[in-house]
Amino acid sequence: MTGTTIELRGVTKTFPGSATPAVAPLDLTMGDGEITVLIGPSGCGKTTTLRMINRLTNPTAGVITIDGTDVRERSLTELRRGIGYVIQQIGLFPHRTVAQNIATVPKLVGWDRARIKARVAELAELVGIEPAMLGRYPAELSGGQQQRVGVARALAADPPVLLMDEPFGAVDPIVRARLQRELLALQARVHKTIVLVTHDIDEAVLLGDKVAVLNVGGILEQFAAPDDLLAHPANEFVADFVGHERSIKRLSLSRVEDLDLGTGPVVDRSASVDEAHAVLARTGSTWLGLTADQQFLGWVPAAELAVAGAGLDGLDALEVRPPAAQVHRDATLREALELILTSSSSTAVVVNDDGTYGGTVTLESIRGGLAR
Amino acid sequence: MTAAASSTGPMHRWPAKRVVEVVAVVALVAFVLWARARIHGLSEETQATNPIIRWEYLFKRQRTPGELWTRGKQHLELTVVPVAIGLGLSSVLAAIGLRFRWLLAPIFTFAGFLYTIPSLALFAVLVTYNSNWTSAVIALTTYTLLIITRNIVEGIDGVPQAALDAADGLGMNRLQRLAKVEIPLALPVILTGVRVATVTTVGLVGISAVIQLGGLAYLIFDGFNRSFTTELVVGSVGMILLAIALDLVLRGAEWAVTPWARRTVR
Ligand SMILES: Nc1ncnc2c1ncn2[C@@H]1O[C@H](COP(=O)(O)OP(=O)(O)OP(=O)(O)O)[C@@H](O)[C@H]1O
Ligand SMILES: [Mg+2]
Repeated sequence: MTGTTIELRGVTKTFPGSATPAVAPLDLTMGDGEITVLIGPSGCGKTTTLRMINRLTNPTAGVITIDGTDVRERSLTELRRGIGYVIQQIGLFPHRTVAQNIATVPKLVGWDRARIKARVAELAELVGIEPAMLGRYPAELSGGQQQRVGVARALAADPPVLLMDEPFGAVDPIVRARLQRELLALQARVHKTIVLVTHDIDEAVLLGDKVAVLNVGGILEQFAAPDDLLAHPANEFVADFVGHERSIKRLSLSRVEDLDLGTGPVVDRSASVDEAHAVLARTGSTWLGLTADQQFLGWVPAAELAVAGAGLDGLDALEVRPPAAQVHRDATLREALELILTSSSSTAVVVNDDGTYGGTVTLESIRGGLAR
Repeated sequence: MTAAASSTGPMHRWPAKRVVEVVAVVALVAFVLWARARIHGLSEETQATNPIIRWEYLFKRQRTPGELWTRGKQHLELTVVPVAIGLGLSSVLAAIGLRFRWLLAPIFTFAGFLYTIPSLALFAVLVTYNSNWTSAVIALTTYTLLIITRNIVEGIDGVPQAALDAADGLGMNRLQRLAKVEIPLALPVILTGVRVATVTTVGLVGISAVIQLGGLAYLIFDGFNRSFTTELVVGSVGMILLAIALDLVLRGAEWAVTPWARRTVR
């Protein structure tokens, strides 16, 4: 996979007969193998920006390069066949069946029939179009189904670059969530350079490696990773746009493993009673966790340890309660928080990939993670 | 069919009216000619022995089938050839107009002007320089230009912008977009134009009887001249049947090439 970076340098568009530019001089770098999300209010120039990349609209000024080559230097059809385009209005060909729509670019570039057929079936499966629908005409599909066909059509010839203009706008939340997951899974495999337009800040935060927030007139207000955007909005406009509950949104972005997990008030079962007292004193915890062979066994109330007092020879003798809250280290902070809030324990035990004990998560450590 | 008709606007309902018009005009002309033949020049006695239809003419007379075939074939040729040439010329005119928008108005004005020239006058002028056949074809062709050109332009203009954007965005070149997207989507409207032009031409062919052509309409004029109503009626009915047959054939063609237009949910 060769790198495909899209660069916009001073790109401006003023439509004829309009006094103000639809896109102000815009500098953006869309990284190779990354999903760059364009978000902003209606009419802020998102579609126009996309269309300048595949030259459906000509910039008034500025340069756009893909892989360092000015897009104007490449033949129009060759350029566009290498860029999958999901248009905002879906734009299926009404006179062609679903299968024919999906096969548009493979046919243009001369794939043989068997290969096209196999590819169409594969894509239909990917976007959740039933094989029976392949012979239908677009007018016989629902809006959401049409949109999925539009996405399949853009992906058909496996272009290294994808421009997606509100690709999931018309599908229901459940299917949208599935398509978003599919897109991320696909992206993890093939690393395309994707530019995606959306109105939905949650979608932007979920899908984007980088998010560009545009204001009316195509003014770039902030260009940052989603977590940065939520943690440090550059100005009032961005803060307003990303909305309330920024911290809640950020919870979905960070994972447990990103936190400073620490070892928690936990000792191995073979440790001495004195060591256990020392750990409890250091952490100020009212519960003591025990492990054996790196596996977490459970919790013992600190009070029981105190009651047993000096008569205790070893920790083995104590009755261990199984953990109420356990999370995998790649769970999101949102999932960890949910667990802590709904379980009886204020501390969740982190489990590593191999099942070994990986530390603890508490409300405090989540707060600490967001503060970073 | 109802969905397709309502979705493509009034142009779709027009031709049905056209057929009725042609039928009505032909029937009216035939009736007037017949009535005049009855009133003038025929004695009571002749009238009594001269029924509207002499069935022997149709079924006993040896030369009748041959004559009908020749006249019918001529009528068909004088319809199909001008419409075919008209379709070709209209495509060129429409292409020029769509490419250079400012030429559209002059093109329509020109085609509209041709449409208003009285056909008899046109035959008279043309015949001085051309053979009868050529004159008829030229004259009849000129009458198809306005209708067909207008429908081609309307059809192509009616292609949804989103489909055009998709075609461009997916990397079709100009010709591929025209052949794979614009023409197929404009086809219902274009074929409607061809159908209207065809049915109109079936009627107009009759005028070429003044230059010894006229197809089936020759029978009408001949029957009138000879006060022979049978021939007159046969000619009229033949023309009507031809108009209806061509209309049906073209409707069938429209139906066959636009399977997508009649398939919608619900
Ligand atoms: N072909 C055009 N001719 C003139 N003005 C245009 C054209 N296309 C877009 N504009 C104008 O440019 C501005 C930006 O339009 P654009 O379609 O890029 O917005 P957008 O961010 O995609 O909006 P939305 O979220 O509603 O899709 C708008 O003010 C629009 O009216
Ligand atoms: Mg848009």
